[in-house]
Amino acid sequence: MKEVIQEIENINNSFNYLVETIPIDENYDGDFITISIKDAILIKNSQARSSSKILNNYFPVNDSKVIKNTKDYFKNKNIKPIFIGKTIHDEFGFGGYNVNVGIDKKIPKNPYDDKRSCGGSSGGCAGFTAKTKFRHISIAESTGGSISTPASFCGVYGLTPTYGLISRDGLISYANSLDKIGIMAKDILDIAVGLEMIDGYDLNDCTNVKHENKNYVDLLNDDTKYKNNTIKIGLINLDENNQINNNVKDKIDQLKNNLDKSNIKVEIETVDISFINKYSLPVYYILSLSEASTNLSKLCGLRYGVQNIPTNLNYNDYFIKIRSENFSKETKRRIILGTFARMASYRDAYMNKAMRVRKLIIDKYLEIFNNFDFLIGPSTPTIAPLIDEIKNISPYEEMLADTYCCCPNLAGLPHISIPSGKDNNMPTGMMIISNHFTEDKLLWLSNKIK
Amino acid sequence: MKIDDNLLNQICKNARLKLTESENNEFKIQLNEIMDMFNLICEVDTNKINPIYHPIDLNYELREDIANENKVEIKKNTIHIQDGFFIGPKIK
Amino acid sequence: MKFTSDIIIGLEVHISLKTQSKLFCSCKNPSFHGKNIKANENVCNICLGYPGSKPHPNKQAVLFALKLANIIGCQIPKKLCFDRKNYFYPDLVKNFQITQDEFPIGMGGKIQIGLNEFVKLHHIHIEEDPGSMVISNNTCLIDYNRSGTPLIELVTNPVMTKPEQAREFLKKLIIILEYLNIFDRYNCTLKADANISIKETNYTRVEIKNINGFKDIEQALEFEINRQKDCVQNNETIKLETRGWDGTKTFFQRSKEEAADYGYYPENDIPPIKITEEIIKESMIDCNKDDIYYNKINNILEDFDINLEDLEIILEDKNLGEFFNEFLNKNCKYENKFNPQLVANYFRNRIIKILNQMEINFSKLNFNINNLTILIKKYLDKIIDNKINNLLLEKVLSESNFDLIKYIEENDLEQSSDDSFITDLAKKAILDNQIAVDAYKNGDLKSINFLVGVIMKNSRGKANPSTAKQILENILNK
Repeated sequence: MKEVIQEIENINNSFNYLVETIPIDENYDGDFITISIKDAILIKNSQARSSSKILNNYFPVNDSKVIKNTKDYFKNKNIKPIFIGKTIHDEFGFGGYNVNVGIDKKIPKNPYDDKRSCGGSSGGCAGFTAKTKFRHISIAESTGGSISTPASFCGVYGLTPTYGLISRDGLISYANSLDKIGIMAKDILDIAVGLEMIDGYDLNDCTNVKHENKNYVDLLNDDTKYKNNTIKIGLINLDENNQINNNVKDKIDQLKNNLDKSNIKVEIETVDISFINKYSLPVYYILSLSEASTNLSKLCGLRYGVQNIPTNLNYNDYFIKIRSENFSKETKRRIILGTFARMASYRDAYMNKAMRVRKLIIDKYLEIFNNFDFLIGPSTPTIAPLIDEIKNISPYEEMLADTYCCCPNLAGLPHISIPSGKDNNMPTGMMIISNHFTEDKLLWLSNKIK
Repeated sequence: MKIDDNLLNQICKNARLKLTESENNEFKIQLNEIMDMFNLICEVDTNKINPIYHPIDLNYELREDIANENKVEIKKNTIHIQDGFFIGPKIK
Repeated sequence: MKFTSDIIIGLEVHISLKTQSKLFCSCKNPSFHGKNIKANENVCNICLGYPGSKPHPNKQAVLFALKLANIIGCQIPKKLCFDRKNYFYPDLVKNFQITQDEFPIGMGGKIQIGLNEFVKLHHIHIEEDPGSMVISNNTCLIDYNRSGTPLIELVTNPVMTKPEQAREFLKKLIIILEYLNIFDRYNCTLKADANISIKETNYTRVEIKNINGFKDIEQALEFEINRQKDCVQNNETIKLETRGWDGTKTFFQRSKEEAADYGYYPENDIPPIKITEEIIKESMIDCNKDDIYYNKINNILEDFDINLEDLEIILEDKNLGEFFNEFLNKNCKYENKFNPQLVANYFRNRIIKILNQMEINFSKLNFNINNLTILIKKYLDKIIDNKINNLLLEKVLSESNFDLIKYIEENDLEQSSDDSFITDLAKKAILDNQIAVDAYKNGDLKSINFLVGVIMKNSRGKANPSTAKQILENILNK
């Protein structure tokens, strides 16, 4: 274990992936798997700051459900889960490049090029997973693309499960109807292990769907369901010449070969998702920021986190001071937009309207999945940008990092980002989307791409 | 639909935020650029479409009315306690 | 809008429900278990609003709300939905309150406050209680034991026209809630905000917040009406505003312009679920039409000639009312033995009076109900008088193992109402006390009590005094 501890220290000194380390028993000698946890997810005895200064010294009183499930999962197995720390992310999940860290935190660096972004918001998860040489699973979270984007930029696998599959109890909420806890790992097997370990119906989370746990690991190599059917794949997010990009093309060819070897038929064609692409971003942002703006109201300098008592200020002025001094700019912008969208005079045009357009977007997806099993395209429009360049773009332009990923996230569809080779020496990712609650299919297909 | 000084002021009041002058000027431009993106949805015909709150159908079971002895160490997260009460700022 | 009354009053009443646990977590509900001794000893990550916690609605609270909605004639929506009402205050742990905005649990409905008098409601909805605060000059001290307690808010239409009507409304509301077994006036809380507008100000609406209890509501409203009339006389304008009540006067809190935009948003940690036929049936499982206060009163009035006010008071306590009803049915119906009004008098003037003195409510007593039945009959048969009755009634109600019959025997407490026995004594008393007799005949009616006293003495307390008085009057008035 001494090696593990040393590696963590080295990685963190250079790359800033962990905001908090968890003490490890250096005398442990058996089989293990190290696990990192996105800071917004609660584990007892470790601060949970959601990468924000305002939550400094917030110590949760309970483990989140996914941690409880993970501890239970490994109880009668020969391998021990070693929680190693909380990973950095964009404050409260607000960002696609992991540069919006809390005002007292350092931006994490891309494992392939330390001048570039890790992708956000789960940048610390992706970066650490890529850099560590030990077997590692990272428990991450996605609201609008926060698993796919960093997984793509850092060259690792990132699974975002169906909304409602994994309990959100113990996740510091960004947007209640969009947040999903998911997994990052270096290979598909560990994605399947990771999904099994965090899975488990939670009676106490009203948005958790009642279900039996599937054996995702066993199902990885189980071809039986697919032998007599044709797999239909739709290609999306083509480039300006209406072509799939080269990296995705290579992976699709690999897939076709392997399916052929297993005697499984596949049909591939392009799909038009222009309606979905055009309106997902505004709908996603209007709804997620509306939800976030109320979720963050509780952060006001009382009971936990940053506190400045005694004070001469009255309560309103005190709240204003604590919030204005401890939130990053991006957080303030998002709270402002979300508060606006909910105001009495504007809610019909924005909040309510967005909820209706969301229904149309989801209906369009469901129509497509009547005819297709999977949709495939690039995870992100670009490779990881230079951190210095990001400083020069506007907040709106930053939001565009989510262009492809926000669509399945808005619809709560499960999707996975798979490493798809390099472009300019930087990793690229390919995204596969499938219908609600078909993670087993998604992982099975991903396993066929090698 | 644009966010002007008055409206920005009002929103900040509602959200308990106070912007510095430079933040105010910076934000006005940035926020209105994002508003242009928001305004795209106005063109969508949503006649006869009901709003949805979640992406999938959800159904939970109401909790049985059983009381537990829950104990929370409130001192773990704050030192501002007096006789067991949380201390807060003045009201007036 | 045309108003037909000089005074227009509407109320928003918050009542807590007596579920065992809180609305969104399993902490003990102080409205059931009683107030905690120490501050913040009955809290968890959910009712403290710690980041990461998620609410889980209490089934019993929903059942209670559905039962109420049904009984008072509300329209129940298809789905159970919760919303966030956003405002910042130290007693509100999340700086939003989980309530119902768009689809309250009951639309419309009405509360019966008299035989033929109803107050129509706008709606009722479920919401959580904030914590409680002690405010001092430089600071506030906050206790979250109460945070998350389930409440129902009832909003009336602006249909009341007198402060005393508002008082009656609250009084009758408490009775109705207790009849449904969802509220208990000793542990649960009741608070009202009142909206009042008077003709003199052109019906400018003023809100008065946080009035506790039905006695205060009449006082607060009367104060405010007088205050407004004074202002008008002094040429001061009344503006749309919110005022507080401190027990003796109303005071300015904020103007309408300062009212917050609550930015209501659906509570997406709690998705809407169908309100099914099953759950509505389940909510009504221990409830039927006879359980309704004014229905019970009407039923009794159909069979028995009793003063309405007496009935309203006796039936305030559901269990006492049931006992009363049973007693009437067994002893005043067929044999026509006792006069039902006299029975009512006993219940109102004897039983309720002593319960008030003991500061206890009927339902909380532990005693042998047969004893009480026997005692009442003996009193009505005039075998025991007021003094002995008071002594025995207290023992019957407070001593659970009291053997009434044995006690009466051992202490020789029974009196006689035998006509000839008392007539003899009366005649003797008249003969021996001519001065008192003359005084009586000359108009001093109280002198008869002296003669009653003589009879009591000579009979060593065995003569029933009210019978004795009656017989004396008959003789003297001939």
